[in-house]
Amino acid sequence: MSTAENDLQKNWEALRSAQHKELSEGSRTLWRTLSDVTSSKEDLAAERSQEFSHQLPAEEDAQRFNRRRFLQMMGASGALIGAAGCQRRPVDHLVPYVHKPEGLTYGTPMWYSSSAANGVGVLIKTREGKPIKFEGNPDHPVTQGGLDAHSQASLLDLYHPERLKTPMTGGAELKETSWREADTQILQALKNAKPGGVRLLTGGSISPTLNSVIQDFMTTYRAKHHGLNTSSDAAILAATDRLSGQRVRPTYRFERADVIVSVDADFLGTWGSTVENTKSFSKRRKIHQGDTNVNRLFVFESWMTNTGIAADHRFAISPTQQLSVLKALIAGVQGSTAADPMVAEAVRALRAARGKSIVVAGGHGPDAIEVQVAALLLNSLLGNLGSTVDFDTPSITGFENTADVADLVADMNAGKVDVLIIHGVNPMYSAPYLKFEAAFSKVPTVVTVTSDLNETAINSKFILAESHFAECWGDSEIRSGVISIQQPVIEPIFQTRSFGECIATWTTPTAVAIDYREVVQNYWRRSVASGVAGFDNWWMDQLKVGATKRAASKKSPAFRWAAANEILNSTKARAKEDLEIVLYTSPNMGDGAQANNAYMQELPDPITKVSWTNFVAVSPATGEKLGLERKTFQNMSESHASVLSVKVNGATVELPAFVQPGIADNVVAIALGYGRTSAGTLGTKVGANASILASFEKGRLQLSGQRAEVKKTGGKALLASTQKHFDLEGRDYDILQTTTLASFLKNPKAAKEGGHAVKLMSMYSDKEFVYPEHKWGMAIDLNSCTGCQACVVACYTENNVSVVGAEEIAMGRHMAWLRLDLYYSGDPSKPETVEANYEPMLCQHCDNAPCETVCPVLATVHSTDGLNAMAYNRCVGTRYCSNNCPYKVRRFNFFQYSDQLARKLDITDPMPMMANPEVTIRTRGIMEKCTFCVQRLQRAKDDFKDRGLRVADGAVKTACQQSCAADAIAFGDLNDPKSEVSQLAAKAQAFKVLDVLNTRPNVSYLPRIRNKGAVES
Amino acid sequence: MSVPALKEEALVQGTKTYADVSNEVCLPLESFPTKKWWVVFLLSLTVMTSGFAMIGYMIYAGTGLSGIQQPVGWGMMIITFVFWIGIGHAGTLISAILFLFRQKWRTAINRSAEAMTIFAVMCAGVFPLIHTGRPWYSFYWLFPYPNTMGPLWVNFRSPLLWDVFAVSTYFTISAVFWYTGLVPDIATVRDRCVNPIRKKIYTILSLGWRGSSRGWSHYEIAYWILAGLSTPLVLSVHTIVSFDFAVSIIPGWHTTIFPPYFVAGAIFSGFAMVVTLLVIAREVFNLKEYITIGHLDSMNKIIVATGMLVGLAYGTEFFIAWYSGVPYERFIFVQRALGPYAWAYWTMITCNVISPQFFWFKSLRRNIPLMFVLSIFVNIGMWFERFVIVVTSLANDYLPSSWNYFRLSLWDYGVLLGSFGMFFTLFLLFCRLLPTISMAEVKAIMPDQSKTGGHHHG
Repeated sequence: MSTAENDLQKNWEALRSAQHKELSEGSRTLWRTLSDVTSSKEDLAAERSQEFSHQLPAEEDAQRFNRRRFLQMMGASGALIGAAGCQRRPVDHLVPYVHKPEGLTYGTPMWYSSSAANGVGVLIKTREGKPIKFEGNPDHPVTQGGLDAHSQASLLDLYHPERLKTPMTGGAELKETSWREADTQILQALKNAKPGGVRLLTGGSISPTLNSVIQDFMTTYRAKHHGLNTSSDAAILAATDRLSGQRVRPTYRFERADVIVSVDADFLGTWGSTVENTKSFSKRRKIHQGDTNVNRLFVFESWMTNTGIAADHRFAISPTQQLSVLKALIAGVQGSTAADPMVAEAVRALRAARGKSIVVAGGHGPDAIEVQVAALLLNSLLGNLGSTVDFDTPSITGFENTADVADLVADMNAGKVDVLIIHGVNPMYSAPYLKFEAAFSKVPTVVTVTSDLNETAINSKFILAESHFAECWGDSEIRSGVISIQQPVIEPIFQTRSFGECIATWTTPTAVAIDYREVVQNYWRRSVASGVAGFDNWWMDQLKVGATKRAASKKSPAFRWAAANEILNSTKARAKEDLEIVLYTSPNMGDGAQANNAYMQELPDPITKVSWTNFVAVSPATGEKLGLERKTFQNMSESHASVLSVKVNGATVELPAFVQPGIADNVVAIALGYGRTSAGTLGTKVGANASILASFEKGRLQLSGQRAEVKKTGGKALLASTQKHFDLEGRDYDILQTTTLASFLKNPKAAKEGGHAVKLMSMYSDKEFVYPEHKWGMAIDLNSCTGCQACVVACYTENNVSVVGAEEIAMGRHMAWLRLDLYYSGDPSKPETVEANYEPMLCQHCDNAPCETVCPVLATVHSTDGLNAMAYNRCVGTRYCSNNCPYKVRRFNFFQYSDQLARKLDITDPMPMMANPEVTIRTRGIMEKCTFCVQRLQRAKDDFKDRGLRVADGAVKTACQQSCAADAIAFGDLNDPKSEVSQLAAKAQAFKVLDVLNTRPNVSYLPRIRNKGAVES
Repeated sequence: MSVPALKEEALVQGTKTYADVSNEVCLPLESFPTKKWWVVFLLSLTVMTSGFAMIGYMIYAGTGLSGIQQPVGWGMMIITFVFWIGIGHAGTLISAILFLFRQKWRTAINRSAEAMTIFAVMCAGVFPLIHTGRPWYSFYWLFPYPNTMGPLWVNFRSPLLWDVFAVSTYFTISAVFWYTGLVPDIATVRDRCVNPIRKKIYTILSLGWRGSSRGWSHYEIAYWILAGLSTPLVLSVHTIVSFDFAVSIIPGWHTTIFPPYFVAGAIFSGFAMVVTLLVIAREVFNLKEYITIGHLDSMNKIIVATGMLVGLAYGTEFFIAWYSGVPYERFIFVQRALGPYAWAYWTMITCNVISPQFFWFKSLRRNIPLMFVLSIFVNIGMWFERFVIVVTSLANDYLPSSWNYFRLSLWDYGVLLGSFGMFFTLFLLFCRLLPTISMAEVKAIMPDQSKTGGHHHG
């Protein structure tokens, strides 16, 4: 028995005996405390007498300022000063729920399935009613858990302080208005419009409900729907139209293809449905899963893309050569011997994979439609139609039924348009060649539904604030028959509406506000045609799972191949220009709509690692001709680059130069999507708008292949990049192992051959560390990784990683916990020899972590489950850990980076709501780095502990892993020999970066294995 | 039979009495500062103040004002820290090691050399603190003190922590040693004082020194002990500073040669700085007869010797990098000589290895303008040595994807200059407030006046 218990026992006994005594004496006194009972009467009296014995100071006494008082005051004020200094941030009051919503536990995230704006299935994580993270929905039949960088970053779009918050009226002065007012006036305009005077201009809408609402609207107002399609696969619709009279975009089943030939189609980056493409393409690259029948990718392209980097064979061609390459392929497949060695190998592979190959082509080059016709013909000759090129469940682009935008401009100029409703496109910025500016003034009522005050919006009469996809009901059909309901997870933060809501409202006779959920439900009630009870179940299942299938609207276009041959024969081969322009869609910036999204601006271009601007990319040989410094892989990037002026068709763009090995010689490539003039604080005047270089003739948009005149202006401009050195310096064995499939099949350790297997002397221990419970580890398959960087943005949003801006990045201070290193090989002056490989680099959580031993204050230590942990509060910022990290994955807060965005934007609300409450916001002066998403591990451990179980393999996914459409990342417990990550780490070909240092990383890599065919060429 | 012997040069020149020594050494303390002094002092003070203002703003705004980045996480601050610590070596070496070896020529210069040591260590001490991201914590979190944070202890495996102990110990011992040496001289100054306030201050500072035989006897024992305590520190401090690099795994840092290499370099730079200061001091305060050309000659000999040691270290590093067969090591050293920082490397070689070679010649060793220029060269070279070590290894370590080029920012230049301002401000104040030459010791090595009648130098 402890002393305390002893005392208690004694007291209790004393009390009992006293009670007995009192009872027996018949003089029961009341007692207040135990001491009343236990103490003697004298003691008690003494104690009582002292209770109020303390003399209260008389008033004048208190006011006298004696020495004692003085010292007291001094002490108190000193303490107060100290206390005031200690206070680092103001105290904000947390308001608990007054009525707690059912099923919600404070501090526990809720997940909702939905659909992202581009139709990718998402799961939305909410905390206390706020969406804080978008993740791929693994149950979505097409995107299967992958999520693109754009959708990841769109979390910031939701909370962006510069979002449009209310409907506005434009004109000389922007004015806020109410929805009621706007509705009334728009309805009036719609009613007064002359027949055919109402027009809609949209991007591709893949929402069945929206399309049906638009259909109703068009019927009501006899309106016409135009589409502005600048995407790089736009010409496919025109091509199928030419050959069959049907506008249809097939689904390319990359997972069924043994051989893929891409002519200028960056299908892993910007062409078509990229998450879907990446998912199906990477399924056939899983050598580590025992699949040796991997696909083989031939890429013919003018500049460098992620598809080119993923290629097994890459050929640099200029845009004018696209059609001739395809014609040569056609001739080769038809039996003639190809003269061009570049084409010969592709022909050989294609002929061996009839019915199991895909030819894709893309871009807005010269003869874009003819190029697509050739690709279709080639697919048909190879017997791919129906197998890999799928018209039974076609992709939905949203442009199948829209009228041409050029007609709209003509009608506007002719004064035939009274009301123009614009949504999802920004023609004033992205299509200057259409000359909207002049036409706009001839339309009395232009209504733009947009989430930001873009170039088109500021020229409109009504600027209607659009809801984010997480705020409104909707749906999507990414592939015919694959449906996903978009369910809101938060009330619209501002006075916003979805486009469908607007259209549906205006379709009602008096513009009464519409419950759009009912519209969506009604559409599906009709569409799935079940009874009411059945529908409710279907609806709830739908919301739970997030995706379902319905019968696909099968398209069986009857192609007239004779016409195809005719088209191809009548198209003359183009002469090569001295210098050809290539305007490409930037994988980060896309069409420029996310220009004000700090994540997308900060995210470096995957190929050049340049962020916050676009640039003129030229090959080293072309660069030398233009008078640029000679470049190698060692010195590709420079912080201040020479400015080039590029002139095409009389328009000029001035941008810094980037010498990019691998680009075809005599090509100048510029990314679109930059140079916005009205995109908000972050997006305005970042880079230059290259779309002014595009040409538009006879209804055909041409973005590449025109003759360009380029010269140095003599100026220099900032070029912020996160990687400057792209050469492995012969360290392939230690850093990034690669081999070919043929060698790998002979010897799984082929990638390791030729490396030095010398173990360096190490001061680190050779003993095996024992982690009693879990030992978290990761395996990354370099063969699957396509470099899309969705993982990077996922990491930013999950871990509240700060955006630092161009100047800081140029200093070398980006904050990405996970970065994609890129290393080139080959001869930089010979584009055809240039190959490149990605390597995702993050904290390796070394067992012998060099960072841990050197920290003087123990701010970075090892956890019992094998993590290299960071105690932010303890860090004083000596940066020694970062210096000593051989992987250089630690990031230092040189300034208060967590406020950087807010400072730049001036207003911050509602941005702070975006932060993940489970991850500390880092203050200035401290180090941070990848934690393996420790907050997720901790939650999973808790959840499983509650159930008395061990964390199951695959139950916890890191943010990067979750987002990866290529499934390149495996994560789990290395203590469990059956876990996926253990098995991958145990593969013969698995390697660890800088293994020679004996740091014992817990991240394993699987080598990049190129399929060069059975015979080494 | 008379043996022809080399005639030793007199350590104090001219015919001096003990009174002359006191008069001449105390003169700067007892006269109003000259215009020259004011100009230099105000200039130093301005540079120091602006340096500290910049430090203040850096603490307010963030370490990012410095040029440091990824992967070069240490820049001007650590370079300059090591530089000043190195400068601080000569003082203790002169006062302790030369004392133990009974090198009598040290007496004229040990006081100022020790003062220099202390000021250099003070300058150095500023940098580790302000280079951290959160100086308001680092100034006490790096000490193992009992606390309520766990209790949270420091990491005894981290060389940065060893630095904290090494540098603070070194500073403490040096300061005590210096002050002990000062006591008899302060008493002399006290005795000469006319102004009562001055007298009061020097009385307190002289700790009641009466010059009794017992006093002298205790004093000399204490001085011996302190010299003995200081001696290992001369070797240990820079050894431990070199561990900051040697214990890491960065190529070019992780090398066992660093301790002797750093110590040699430190003595080299320390002596060069002593020469720079003494050449000025003997000119300005007219102490040419105490700090003789012979003293400077001796120091230049040490400079050429340590310069050769440093040169040998440079060569050994290259050889070992090649001989080890480690590709990363080889790469770094090729980078140093031929890479983007070759300019810094060759500046270092020129200043540290080539320039001291002039001191092989006696006439050049005794050439005041030449030694002044060369000593400054050596100091520039030694700053660049630390630049080369710190920056080149970090800028091009293991993963080429992270490689970057490092530049000092304007703030770096400001703070670097500020540290020189601080150093000269302190030194100039020292020259006005304390005897720059150890009068007691100089008197001891002067010819016995009782025998020569005090008028003829023997």
